[in-house]
Amino acid sequence: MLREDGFVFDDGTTARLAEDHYFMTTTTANALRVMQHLDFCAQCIWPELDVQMVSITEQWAQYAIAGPRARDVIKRLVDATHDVSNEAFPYLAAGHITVLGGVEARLFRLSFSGELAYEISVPARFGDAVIRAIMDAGASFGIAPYGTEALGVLRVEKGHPAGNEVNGQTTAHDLGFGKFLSTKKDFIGRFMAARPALTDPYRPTLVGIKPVDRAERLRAGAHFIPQGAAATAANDQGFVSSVAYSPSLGHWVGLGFLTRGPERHGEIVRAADPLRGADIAVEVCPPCFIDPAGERLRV
Amino acid sequence: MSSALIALSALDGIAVPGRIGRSAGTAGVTLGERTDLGLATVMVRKGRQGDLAAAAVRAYGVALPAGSRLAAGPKAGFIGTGPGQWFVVSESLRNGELARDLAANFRGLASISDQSDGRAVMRISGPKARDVLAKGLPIDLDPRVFKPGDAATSLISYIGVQLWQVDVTPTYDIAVFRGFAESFWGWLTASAAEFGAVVESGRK
Repeated sequence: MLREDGFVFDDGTTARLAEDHYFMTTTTANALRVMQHLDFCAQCIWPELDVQMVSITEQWAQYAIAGPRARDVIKRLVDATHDVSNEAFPYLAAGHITVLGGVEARLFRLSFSGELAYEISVPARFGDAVIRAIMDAGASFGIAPYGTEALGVLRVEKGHPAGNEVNGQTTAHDLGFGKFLSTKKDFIGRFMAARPALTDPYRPTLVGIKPVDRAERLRAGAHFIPQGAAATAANDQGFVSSVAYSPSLGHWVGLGFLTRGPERHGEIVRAADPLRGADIAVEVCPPCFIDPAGERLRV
Repeated sequence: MSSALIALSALDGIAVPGRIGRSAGTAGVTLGERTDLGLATVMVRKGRQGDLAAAAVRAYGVALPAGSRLAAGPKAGFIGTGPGQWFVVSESLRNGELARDLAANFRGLASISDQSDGRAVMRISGPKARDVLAKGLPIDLDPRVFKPGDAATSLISYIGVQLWQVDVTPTYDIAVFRGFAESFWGWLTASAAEFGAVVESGRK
């Protein structure tokens, strides 16, 4: 979702539950602003549209179940009349189901972690009982709760932009989402996103980085400086936005914005952090470190 | 529904029946959570106001209120919350039953959203109810200007509320977003304490 000025506003998912019924999610911190934006669009920009919107944030308790055994857990929860096999309920499927003996629920095959994953929602009064049932159903597979710290690592490993990247100063092209912009139809932000400064090929664009010495730690906030150049503002080519230690890879990984970034995969640059006295060599790479083909999502 | 899953209302374990605050004399108010109500939003589809109004009369015996009023019918009450929007409350069509009933009766005329779990509804009743609410509600509830059937959308203690008057006792129902229920209950019980309050059990 773009702002009128062409910068990225927020990202989320939209599921079609019926011919005229959609369920939309936003990032948590932006839910209110997105709702205001949608209401403004409906009331002021396109009052001729026949569309009604209401927040259902508090109506549903929604849980993510992620990992290679996610379907095994789901099968123990969903009532037998619903087929959740990979063929019947593939990646990005969504639908109404019932769980645990007739409780109405919604199932979404979405993944933020990069693993096979589902999100399941039930009316909030059943939220307590259903999370207990999920943990029970997964106990024999070693299920464990995960929080935002783990989620932060997972999303950096997958190269999913989050608040550090969708910071109000980045465009869809900067974030690698340029291919999602329609070339055939109008949309909010289309005109202003074509301004010269926003289409400048030297704009810093999303990349992944790895420390050349894999034992080094990365620091968000460091600036990209070419090798052999002084760490000055004049030589600044971008910055590191998010970092995490990847337990899967055994070293730090990071995301950042580098001028002409996508053309420079494989190049070595410096991540200079004069504030904290760090200046290390990093390798530029695609911004996805785990399963770049997305095969785990679709099994 | 045959599920053995336990449903928890927003104030389960929080709105515990008993007497709170001043213990001497008759309690100034009774308080309680109204659990398992059917709650839903109804938003009219473009150009279908007349058809929707007719369907509301036919199905619910209700003339849809144009303003911030509660129109009570035998099965459900409709509260005006904005142009072409109503918040619907039912005691007989519980939880998701209400939204299913509305969807069947208003097919093609309105968009319906189940909010039975999205809001917590609390009832405050008794001679001191206005004194309690006056501590947080910036709306004049004097009986000359706010009567049974009147409704308001406002703020209490920084929490968004929908409030409607049920009877002349006076009795008010207050709906808040479910996630705010415990905070709101804390404000409500603290504000009622000086008058003495009886907390009643939820489902009736």
